[in-house]
Amino acid sequence: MIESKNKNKIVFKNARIIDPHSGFDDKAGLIVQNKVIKDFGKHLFKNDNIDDALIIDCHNNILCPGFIDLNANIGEPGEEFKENVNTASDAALASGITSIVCMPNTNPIIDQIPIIQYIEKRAKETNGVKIYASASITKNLEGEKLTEMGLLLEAGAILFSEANQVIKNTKVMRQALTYAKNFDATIMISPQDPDLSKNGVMNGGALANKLGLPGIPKVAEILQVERDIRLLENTGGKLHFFNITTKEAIIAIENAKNKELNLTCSTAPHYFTLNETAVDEWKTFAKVFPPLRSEIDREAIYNAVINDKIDIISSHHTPQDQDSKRLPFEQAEFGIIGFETLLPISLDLYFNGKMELIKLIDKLTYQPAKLLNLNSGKLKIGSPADITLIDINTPHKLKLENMISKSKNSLFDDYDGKGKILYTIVDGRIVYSDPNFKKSAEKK
Amino acid sequence: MHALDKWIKDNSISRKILANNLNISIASLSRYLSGDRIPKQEIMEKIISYTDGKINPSNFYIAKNNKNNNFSEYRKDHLLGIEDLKESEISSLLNRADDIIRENRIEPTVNQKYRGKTLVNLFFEDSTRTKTSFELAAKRLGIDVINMQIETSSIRKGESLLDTAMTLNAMQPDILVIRHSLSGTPHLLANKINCGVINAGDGQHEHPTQALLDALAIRRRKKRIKGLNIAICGDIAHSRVARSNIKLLITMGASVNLIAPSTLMAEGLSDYGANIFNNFKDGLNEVDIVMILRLQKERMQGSYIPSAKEYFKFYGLDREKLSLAKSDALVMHPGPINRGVEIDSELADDINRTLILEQVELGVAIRMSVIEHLINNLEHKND
Repeated sequence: MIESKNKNKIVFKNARIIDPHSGFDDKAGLIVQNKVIKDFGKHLFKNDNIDDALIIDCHNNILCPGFIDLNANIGEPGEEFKENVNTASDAALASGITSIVCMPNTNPIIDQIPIIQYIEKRAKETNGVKIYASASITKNLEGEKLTEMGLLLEAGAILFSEANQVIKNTKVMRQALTYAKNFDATIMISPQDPDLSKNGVMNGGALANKLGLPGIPKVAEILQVERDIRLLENTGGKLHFFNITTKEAIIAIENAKNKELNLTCSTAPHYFTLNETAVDEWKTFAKVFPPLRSEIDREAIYNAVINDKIDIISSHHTPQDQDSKRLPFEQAEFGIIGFETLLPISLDLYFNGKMELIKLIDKLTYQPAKLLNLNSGKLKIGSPADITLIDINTPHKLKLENMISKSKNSLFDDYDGKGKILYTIVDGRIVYSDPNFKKSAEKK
Repeated sequence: MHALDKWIKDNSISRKILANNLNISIASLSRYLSGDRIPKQEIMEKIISYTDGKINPSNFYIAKNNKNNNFSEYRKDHLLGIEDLKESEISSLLNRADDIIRENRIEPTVNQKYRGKTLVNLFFEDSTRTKTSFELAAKRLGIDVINMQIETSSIRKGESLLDTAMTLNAMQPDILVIRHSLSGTPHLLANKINCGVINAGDGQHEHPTQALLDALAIRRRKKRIKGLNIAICGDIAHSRVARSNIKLLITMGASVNLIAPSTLMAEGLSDYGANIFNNFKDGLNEVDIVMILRLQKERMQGSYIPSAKEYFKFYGLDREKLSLAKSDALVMHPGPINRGVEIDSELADDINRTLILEQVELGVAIRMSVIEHLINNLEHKND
């Protein structure tokens, strides 16, 4: 999958280049040299008189920054039987994703410098997708004592999160926000009140009652969002909510943003595509945390992405092997894989939701880059050449058996989508190319 | 056509003459001809000699078997829940149970038809009544019963469930009866095992044979279900019995009132057409049947209910509260009873007002009916 051949200079011609950062969306060309973007613009659209470079004819497909996935589980360390850095990297690159942030709820937990170094080492060995480790906010994810945030940041931690947990103790959460401010670090929370969501396995309500399953009421999310916003108001600092699933949480976040708090939020494609009925009769692939909500909430999330109330779309890629899913619903693990469905499903917002394509790509590229203070996620001269070429016209049916991720726990088997990835470039190096397209694109 | 009916026609006599000559009533003869009953030994001998041996006992057993097969509207391989069952399917299961009760009381015989069949009782949760009831039902049908011992320690390990399924498959049972603390487990096993699966209670989801036997008890006493007002009281939120009963009774045309403190009421049950009440006074008005649910001990103290004392005061059934219902209203309880918590002890023992012991007795018949239906359906499927 990953080509070892290092090409110093690549020229992309005949492309529709979309760069949300600069608002550029036009027929253009782009030159990559020595790991960075050397030039791009309309003047390079037809660019045939370069002979020292590999020339890629984009055939009017879309060239844009590589996607930056704000939260993913990559199996390492501790659950290599579900996913490992190599399989995660291959799956991500084939999905146009050039950077991922991995979650700290690994085994061992990412709460100390050596674990950050371990992930860095594994990423370097794999030499594929860029992997940024998030560290836990509290030691051992216990919600009591803060991790060494400053040292962890120096070691390479990109942000702080408790993964699927929140910090229950209000005082500790207040301290975390306050202390993180010293380093301008981001705190990232998946907000669900732990008492109300305890033992719950799907959205609370009539359907859960019908199936006899303990529910997670939507008020669990609303309460947690509102509490943490109150704290942020009090402390200042940078807070990001991921996996937002409810209408009322969006309203609360919108109000907070109007108060000019440093607050952003994100959701995952399954939350605006599927509702709780996907659980059907104890279908464990539909068991995700937070749970798939009602149709009203799904629609609200869908519209919130379109109306720019949700800043970022991330995959929340959570691989689970068969033994973790072939169980009674209550015993099965939470999670759905997300890399390979990230773009095809999100494109529904463009095709059916009338969202501008540049706005959609913004939520996959520049917005997460901005949150993470990365120099990628944009097509700017001198920026890292992390880019992807996508075909949004040819129908592209998703099939479980074709998925690269080591675990195949996706609900989107047979999904009729578009959004095939043709090329993925990381640091100026071709790390993925569609074999069929490559034949026609690289002809001299 | 019954061979005896054909004989009557061929010999140009009437049923009435035949009945007179055999010294039996026309009604009895009709029941033999419809396959409802098998003649007793002495009558059987009379028939054989009267027809010069043209008619023999096997003719009556064939009629009976045909009747069973044609009788049934219930065509499913499993009984996983009441959800999605049609009125005709429920009636079919109840009607057969009624027949079984009549047969058992009049002519108790061990049925030869199911010899060699195997039923496995797979109980992951403690149960005395349901497990014994299934065992007795199977034995009355001449079916071999295996009670699987499930070690408590392995219950929590999910892996063991599918391993158990594989082991069971190798034993090739005909019927698997399963009870599990997690909802959906029988459905999971039904997909993995090649036999009829009966849900004997899954988590807080369903307990279909309990609902069927409750319906049978009601129908036998009140002669109908349609049009009755039935109140279900107690821990609705955590009760699989309640869920199955609500679906069944509403499907059969009853009006159902649910009465529970709001911490024990479940959202969404009004979608089935049930009426929701938080007190007895409103909920018991004009009610024909009061079903009381068991309140689990661990829920009596804490956030659901402050104390058993308070619960009994407001939600325990006693004669005073029962007087709010119709004067001939009957009381039911799936057992085991917490005396003095959900029902007054003396009231629970009043056989004129309660159906509690009858419920246990009818449980065997309903389970025989379900087992027979599934075995017949599976055999027809293999044909």
